[in-house]
Amino acid sequence: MSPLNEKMLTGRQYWQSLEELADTAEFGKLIEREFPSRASEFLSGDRRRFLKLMAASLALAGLAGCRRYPVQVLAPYAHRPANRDPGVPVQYASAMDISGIAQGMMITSVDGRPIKVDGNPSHPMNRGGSDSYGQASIMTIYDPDRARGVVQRSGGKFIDSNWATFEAFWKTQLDAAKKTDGQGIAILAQAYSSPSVKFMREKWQKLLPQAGWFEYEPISFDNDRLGTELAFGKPLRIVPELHAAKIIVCIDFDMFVGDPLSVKFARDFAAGRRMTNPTTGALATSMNRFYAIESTFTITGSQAENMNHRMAMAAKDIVVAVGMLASELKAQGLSLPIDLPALPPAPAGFDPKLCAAIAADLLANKGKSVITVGHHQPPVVHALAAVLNDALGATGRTVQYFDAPDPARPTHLQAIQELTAAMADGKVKTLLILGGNPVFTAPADLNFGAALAKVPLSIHLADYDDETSALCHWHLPESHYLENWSDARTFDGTASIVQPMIEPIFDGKSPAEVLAILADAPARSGYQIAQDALGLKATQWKWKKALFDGFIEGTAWSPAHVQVSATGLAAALASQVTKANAMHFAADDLEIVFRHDTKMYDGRWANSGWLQELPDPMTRLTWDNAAMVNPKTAAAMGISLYESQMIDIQVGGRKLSMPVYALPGQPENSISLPFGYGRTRSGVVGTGTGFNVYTLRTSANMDFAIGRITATSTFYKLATTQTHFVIGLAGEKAIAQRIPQLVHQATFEQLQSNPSLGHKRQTAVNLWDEHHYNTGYQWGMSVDLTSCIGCGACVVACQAENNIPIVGKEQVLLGREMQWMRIDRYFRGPDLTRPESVHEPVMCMQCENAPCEAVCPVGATVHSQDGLNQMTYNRCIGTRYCMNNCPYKVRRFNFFDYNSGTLENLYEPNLLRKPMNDLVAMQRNPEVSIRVRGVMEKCTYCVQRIETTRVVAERQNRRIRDGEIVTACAQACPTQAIVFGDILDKSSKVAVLRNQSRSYGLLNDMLFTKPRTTYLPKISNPNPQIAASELPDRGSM
Amino acid sequence: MTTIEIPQGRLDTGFDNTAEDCIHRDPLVTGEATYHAITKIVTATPEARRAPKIWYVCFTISLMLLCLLFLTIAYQVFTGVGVWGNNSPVGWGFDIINFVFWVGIAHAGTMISAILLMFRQKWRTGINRFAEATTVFSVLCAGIYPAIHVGRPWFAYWLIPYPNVMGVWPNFYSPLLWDALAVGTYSTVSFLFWYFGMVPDLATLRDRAKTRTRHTLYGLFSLGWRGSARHWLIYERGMLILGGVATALVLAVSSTVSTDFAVSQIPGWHETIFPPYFTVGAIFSGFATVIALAIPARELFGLKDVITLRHMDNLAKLMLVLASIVAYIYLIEFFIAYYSGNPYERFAYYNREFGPYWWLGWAMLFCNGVVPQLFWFKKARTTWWLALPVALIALFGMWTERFSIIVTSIQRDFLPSSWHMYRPSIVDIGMFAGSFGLFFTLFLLFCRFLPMVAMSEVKSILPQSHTHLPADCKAEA
Repeated sequence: MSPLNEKMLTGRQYWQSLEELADTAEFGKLIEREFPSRASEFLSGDRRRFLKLMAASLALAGLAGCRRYPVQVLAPYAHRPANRDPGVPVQYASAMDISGIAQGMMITSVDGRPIKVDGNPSHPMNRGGSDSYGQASIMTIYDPDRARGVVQRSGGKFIDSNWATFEAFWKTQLDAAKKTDGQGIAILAQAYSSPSVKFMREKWQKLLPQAGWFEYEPISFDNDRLGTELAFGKPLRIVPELHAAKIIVCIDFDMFVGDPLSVKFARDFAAGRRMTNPTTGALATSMNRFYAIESTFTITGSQAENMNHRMAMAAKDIVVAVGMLASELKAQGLSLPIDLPALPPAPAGFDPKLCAAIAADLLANKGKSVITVGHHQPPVVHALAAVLNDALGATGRTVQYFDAPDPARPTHLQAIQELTAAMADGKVKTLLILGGNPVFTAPADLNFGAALAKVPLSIHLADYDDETSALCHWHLPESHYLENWSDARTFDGTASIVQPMIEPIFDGKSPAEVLAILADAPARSGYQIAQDALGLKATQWKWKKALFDGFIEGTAWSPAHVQVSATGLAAALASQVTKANAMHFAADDLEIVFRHDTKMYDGRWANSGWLQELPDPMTRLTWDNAAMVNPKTAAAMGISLYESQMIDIQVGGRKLSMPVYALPGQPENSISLPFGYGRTRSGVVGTGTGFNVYTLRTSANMDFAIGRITATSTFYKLATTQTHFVIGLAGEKAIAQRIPQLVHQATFEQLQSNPSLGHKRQTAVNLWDEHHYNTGYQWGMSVDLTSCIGCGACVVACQAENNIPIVGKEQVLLGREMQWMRIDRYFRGPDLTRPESVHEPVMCMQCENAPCEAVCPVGATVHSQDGLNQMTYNRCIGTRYCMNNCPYKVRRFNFFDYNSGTLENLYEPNLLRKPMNDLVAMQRNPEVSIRVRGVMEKCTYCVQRIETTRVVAERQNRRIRDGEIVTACAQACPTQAIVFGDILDKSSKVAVLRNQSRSYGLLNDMLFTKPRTTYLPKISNPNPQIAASELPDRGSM
Repeated sequence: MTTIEIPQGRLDTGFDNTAEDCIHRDPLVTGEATYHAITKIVTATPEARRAPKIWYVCFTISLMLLCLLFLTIAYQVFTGVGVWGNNSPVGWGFDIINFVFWVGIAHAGTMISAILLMFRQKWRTGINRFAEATTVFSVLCAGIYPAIHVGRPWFAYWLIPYPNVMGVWPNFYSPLLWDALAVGTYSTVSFLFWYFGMVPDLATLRDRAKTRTRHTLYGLFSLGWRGSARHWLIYERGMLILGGVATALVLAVSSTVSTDFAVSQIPGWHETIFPPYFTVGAIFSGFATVIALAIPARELFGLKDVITLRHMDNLAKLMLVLASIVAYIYLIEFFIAYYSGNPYERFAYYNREFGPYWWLGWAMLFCNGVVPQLFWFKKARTTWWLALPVALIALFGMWTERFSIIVTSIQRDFLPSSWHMYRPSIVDIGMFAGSFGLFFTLFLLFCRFLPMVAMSEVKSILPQSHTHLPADCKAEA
């Protein structure tokens, strides 16, 4: 009998403590050992008795002795692979392809899992910047809803299958197909820039010459191609080079957000608007000027110098406006190679004075001006703009042309029409869909889904089991671009190698790899295919350099040589003008513009929580799309401006009910419907969000149509992060008063004559000696409101870097979004049908006199020596006093345990909640704490990056260099509007910008918070011939 | 003069003792004003075999609400603050509104017992016990909120400075710390004040007890009181000290609570007038509560001879004074907002009356500033069906005042981009209702089992207590 049992049986002895009770020789020895939990102990000699004793003592001590731990298998890291330091982030270059245009990416990977995507600093497209798509793409790889393997549908049931089964199945199909040279087989593919795909495609077509290849993108650049064909006689890719332009006329083109080239456009545009040289502090001597003619109020249009530099008009009328601009140019002396047709009277929204001013400006800046046209404008507008550009000497200077990589292909619309017709006729026996989601995105009148049902064998390769997969016989999982070897080309043809960061999580394959299976090619791995396609060997120095650089030097195309041969243009223009004029409005009719959603693109990002919760740059809408209607139009139709009223939209025989968002600045006779929302099968996050505008988009009217709108009596809840009309008149007046103080604005002329812009730094008289932050490093940030276009890439970057959870639509409605930084959007101007809008990024200002710090009862938020306003999550008890007292409202509270469960069960007590999928946690940045419920959080200036760099610098016994630390927002910003650094170092960029006399701290004049984040005023460069905006200045408040 | 019927078989008729005559003061106790009669009146309810039927009804409802309170608290603690309507920018909603509301109500008891004691207002004896009880119970209701409103309630004790191995002290600059200390002190002192004052009366109940249980329990809580002169001496001294401390606390607690707002920099919170403003408002709401509770208590428990019309009249007069001060402060606030020239300040007050919560803003002005002006009329002061609604409206008005200050100010502060509406959730409302459950459960238990009127003190103001006075003055004491 053991000593313990003896003691217990005597019944006389009592123990005072667990130690005393467990006072056995074995246990004593055990606790003397340094590592009592060593596994060998558990297996030695008297294991049973030891365990009994342990169980008894633990149970007696009141601990639960019966918890069963799950079996977990560990892989020992006994032999460390070369160049792999545990916990040290490694960066790799790669590329992401959207609609056939690649962005160069820099991927940060920790311990074999990619955690962050940023723009590749040396890539010609990105130069370090990125957009919200690129930033959010890292979330998709860890999306538990991604397609998880090969699925076969038979008899209405989905059966889990595998690649081997599919390959065996396909072999039999291929053998049969070879006999007919592939008759009856068709491939419907997305636009791929990948040389690998092209390479495999050629192999495939050689094997099955009769098989069809169709390419479809719902957001197509075909109008550009057709336009250049009209103007120059061949299809071209148009690339405006805004950095070389002094005058930019943007025609219905949302260049700066949601376009595959947005990053480049934004950077180039901002280059011409940077007022202060961050190295020398010298003031710029010139500034570009931006005019916009557009059918939807976009952030691109909001860059126009003031409200009088922007025309809002129906998309159909823009051809007339451009025609008028052409004739104005002609009248002012520009010689045009074409005759202009007679034009109808000026359409609604057209401003002849502005038109004349634009023409004069363009002429005065020949060779330094550019006209850019949106993809959804008809070809003739592109052609006319190209001819005007050419006449203005833009070709080769401010606009580049590249030969279209696939000149022979039909347009995307023609392709899908032709294919669907063949499918419906039963001519397609086997359909392979490579990427894309045509059931969702194809023109509604084609009824792609019904035609697909007639195809005897359909195979879909896609990253999600989506609407199309549900109707296909086979679903093949597509790998994420971070999971496979591939390649891609950017706008100018520069090729990049796509390298994998991680083994495919869900057994996916890349399109090239699938094509290799389909074509029964000997080389099956993406690695091999990419090398074959690029003609490089992995052993070559060039391959290694390309992997390192992220692109292959010298692969850019040379710009196409173009010559205007606009023989058909005049006639085409005349017919388009007639067509536009014929699109006559009946009494209740409005123009309906179909445009891509700035966050969902064509619907592919539907299951990305970050993008769903990213506020739209203009509407600040999250989790939904809405019909954007001018408030005046809405009021005239009896639509409430205060609630989101549902309207019925009728186009042709098609009907859609959708909520209204009253967007000031919309044309009065046109409404905009963003497509990409309304997915029915996109995963837990995206399914059921928004409204499917594709149901109204037909092949006859892919870009705009005439429709009828009727208000219904039902209402919908739109989750916006910033409200406007509901604020009411009293609030609006106050806002109008405040904006000049919050967003300092001035013109370029004013800046030249008075660089301080009359801004006086006020100093507070203090009763006590304040803390002086004058030693060590003192971190600060400068935000240039002139450069900031409000695209929101920084917001997603911050979310990715700092492990910020999404909270879901319900919580956004309650005002509990968690993003640490936001972009405030204010409309201003006396006329809300024609306002200006300004964008202002707001993150924690790291005030030296931080109002939040004084009021925290437990000292959870304190100031660091280097001037950071720090959050100690472990100490925070969540009184929310700091949040109340923060004048910038940048603090975010964990109202629920957002990180531990799913969004659906937020309201369930913690102990009962279903946990979050482990996969999601793999994206998390290991350098940043995951916050529990009940604590406050906020921007830290990416303190983890500061500290990591500090360690490196201190080990090398040197100071941190300027630019060595880049915050996530600054890194993402395509326009480099955000600059971070040490403000004590007088030569640092941030100090130079901060010390500009016009640089100001938000609310600092009022509250003396001494923010470390300062702003440079928004400078505009209005044409002196155009009326200045009638806005109050700062002094009048 | 009201014509409520007095139950037969008790003391004689009620008597209108509200006449203001400096020569002949009306007695403060009507009916048969003898020591024994007082004892009989006060002990009637604790000693009754059964309480009035309405007591059971009220108690059942209160208990149910109390259960609701426990359920909502449990749900909130296990789920998160998100179950409430709070958001960003409105970090504090019902939690702090109700905290300030209950703290305010708590002020009447101490005001009556301590400050009126200092001013030698003898009439207070009829109502002080009763008012102190409201203090103790409402401080308890108030105290729940700061503890559970934090994100991690299990760490709420970090608010209190205590030596700990972490070596971390709270931030002594933070008003929330002052708040925790002030409310903690206040609840302790007001409880002691209430309980010590009750000891002689508990002893009376003990002495009259007819069952063993009653004898034991009352005996236990009367702490061996024998009524000796030494006991009385110590008792009087102790009460005087506690009274002194409590007097300071009446002024300090709401002032401290007001610093939660005044120390911040939110327009509408950042006001130097807040300490007196909150104190006056608190006492005002406290008196409203005492009136609202005294009216039914007089009726139900036959206390009309002890809590006489004069008491009601005096309470109403005090309310009138306080309401007028409150109204004055409202006007000053608006004037200063205008006069400051600070656009943010101006907007905060404009928004209070014309923003989305305009009706609460106007309700505040109307209920607290206008309605109590009815008490200029004696009829309103002495007629229960006029006084009761005025008191209840004032209570509602004071709640809307807290809403207007707390929510309407932060709902729209500096940056318009962050403006957001606040709507309480069902849990918020449930918890507020539940806190009434806690209050009334305790209050009804108090009415049923404890002496609602300070017998010993009331006896001291009977004419026969003043044997040293000339005979003709006795009636006027």
